[in-house]
Amino acid sequence: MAVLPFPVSAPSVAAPWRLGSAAQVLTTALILAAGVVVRSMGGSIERRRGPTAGRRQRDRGERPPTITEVLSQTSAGCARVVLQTIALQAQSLIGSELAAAGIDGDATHPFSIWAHVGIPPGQVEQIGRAPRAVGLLALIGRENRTVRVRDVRQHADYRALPPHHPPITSFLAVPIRFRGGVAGCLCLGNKQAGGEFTVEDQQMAEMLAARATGALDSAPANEGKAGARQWLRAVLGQMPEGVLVVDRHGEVVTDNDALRSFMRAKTSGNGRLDPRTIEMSRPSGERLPPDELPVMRALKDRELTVAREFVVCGPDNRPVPLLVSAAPILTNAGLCDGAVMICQDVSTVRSLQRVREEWTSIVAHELRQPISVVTLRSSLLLRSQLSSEQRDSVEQIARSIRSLGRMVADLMDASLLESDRLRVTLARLDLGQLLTDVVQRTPLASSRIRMHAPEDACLFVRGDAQRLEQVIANLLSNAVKYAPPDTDVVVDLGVAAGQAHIRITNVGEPIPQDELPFIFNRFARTRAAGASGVTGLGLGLYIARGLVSAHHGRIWAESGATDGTTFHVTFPLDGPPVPIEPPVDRMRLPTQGGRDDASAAAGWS
Amino acid sequence: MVPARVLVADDDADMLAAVGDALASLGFDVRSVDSGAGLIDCLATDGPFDLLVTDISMPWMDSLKTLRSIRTAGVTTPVIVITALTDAQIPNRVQALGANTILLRKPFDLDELAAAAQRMTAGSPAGPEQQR
Repeated sequence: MAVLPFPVSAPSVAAPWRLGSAAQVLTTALILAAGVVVRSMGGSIERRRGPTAGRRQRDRGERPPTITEVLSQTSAGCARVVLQTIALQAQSLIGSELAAAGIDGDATHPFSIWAHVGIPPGQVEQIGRAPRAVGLLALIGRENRTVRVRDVRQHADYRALPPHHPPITSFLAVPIRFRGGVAGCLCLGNKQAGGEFTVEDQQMAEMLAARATGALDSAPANEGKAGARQWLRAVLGQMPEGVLVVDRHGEVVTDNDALRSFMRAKTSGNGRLDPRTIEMSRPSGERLPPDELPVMRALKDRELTVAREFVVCGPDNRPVPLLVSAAPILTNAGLCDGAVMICQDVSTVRSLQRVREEWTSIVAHELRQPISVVTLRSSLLLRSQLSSEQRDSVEQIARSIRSLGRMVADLMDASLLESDRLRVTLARLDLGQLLTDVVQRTPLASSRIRMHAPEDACLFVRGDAQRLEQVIANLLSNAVKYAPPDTDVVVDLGVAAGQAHIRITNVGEPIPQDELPFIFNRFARTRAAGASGVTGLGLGLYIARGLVSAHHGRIWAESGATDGTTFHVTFPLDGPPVPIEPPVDRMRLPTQGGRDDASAAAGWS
Repeated sequence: MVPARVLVADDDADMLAAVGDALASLGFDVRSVDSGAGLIDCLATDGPFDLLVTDISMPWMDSLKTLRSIRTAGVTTPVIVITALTDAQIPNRVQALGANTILLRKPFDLDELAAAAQRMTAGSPAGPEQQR
């Protein structure tokens, strides 16, 4: 069943999806076949057009076929493969959680062919509704333009998503054009890692949509099934990424030259690639059995693979790192009709990444050396006889060098997170004790922190004490920094939904709702932080999220004018809470009555 | 009482001087060398020492290799390994040198150095604390 990460509720102005009478010259040419140049010019895109089938027909005085006529002459399965490939490419290349592409249809059923990736099959069945041209979807069709927003829920044309549909925050949709009008759209939801879609993402999506346009434009007119297959091969053949399509029996329907250029595999008697001879391994070196190839997993288990790294044996026997995505090809009735796998050669990217990692490491190492010298020298000076003014100056030097040291450490951690090299050493630890220790060590602020924790049990988690302290210290220092001077910061530890749950709350100015989804992004600074002159790189929460994630935990924030701002962190418990025999041999900060009633009522501890 | 003797090795002259002065301020009798070869030489000619403090990154032979050689030769002097490197394998490599070896990451302040030195010389007959 086709689904759409889009509003499907109240009917609205229908989009003019059908373009039967449109005589306009194709706005986008045969991107792949005719070698279109896409060039960014201050956010706009220029395309050099080549001759199109439509133009050639018009030149001959014939009426160009409509999109419906084109598709009626083209195997729906082939068109679906093209859309599925493009949706998968979009998801993989742009980095979104959800991607979908649809074409054809009329005002009430805009997408006769709809391909999507990112929603599990079970959830697809629960949604159970086809997309309609309402809300934002109608806007794209009506105005023939791209929509790119950081929070789709704030958009004037937003309509509620159907029940069971994954929520969408950041959103990008570009029209798939045919003969100047809109024939469908390519849409992406939820940029990975909580970010927003960029101008570069938009350009990439427009280029991919143009591939769909080019493919439609080159579709055969009256050449039957064989012609459709040939068309499919031609379309996929000109894609720069390696593409492999298998049918429902696991037999290769088609592949392309790009795939064969960086992958050594044998062909069978009919000239098609034999997938059983593809030598694909995990980055660890573990060889994948033939039926474990992502395309086969997509076929057998409907498993979606998104931009995972594998290594194949190249034609010259050298290992080639690939970013691989794979998805099942589903019919409108939800049946699996085959699977598609897309492979992107990332040798160059990996090589650049290595250079950057080495550079970061060298810079961090070289900076730490002088920081160490200044740190030691300033602490030595502070132990000597100094005048009051000299002491002030040296203390200022010591503070500044500590700050510089923290920034270098943050940059290094961010670099490790980005390259997936940050390692934690997990051991069983008492989370309450760790929280207490961190609160005690929070400079100049422990008197403003009220802590509530279970007094009758210890909560154990598996964690890296140093890294968890880093997370908690960061959240506490933020909470204290942004709390009005005469207010407390409240730290709660309890159990919720079977997880250890920490809440850190202050009653400072709330974080605006439109900024809330982005505060964990790299280099994120809220407008208030920027305006108030609070210094920092904007890496603290990004690193905190990475560290929490490395502990299999979750971190999020809630903020409002009434309840202040609360940061929530959860970690899996390492076994059930362990009862403490009274008396409690644990240092407790002033808790003003221990666990508060609200927490107890909410089932905490 | 004779002050505890410490040998410091670092190829960065400023760091060598700063660590040396810091340890001297804590009451140690400090000797300084600027290479792994110098460390072995000084151990052989001017030992024994109660504590070694050495940076990892030094030309020709990094101190971890130097320390492995020293341990193989039967020298069990406590060691503080200091480093600005972030290689994830370093803690394991330091741990492999034995229980009386600890890692101190740069940048560190005087209190952290003092705590590490005190911990490593706690069993020494002439630790720095006895000098005060």
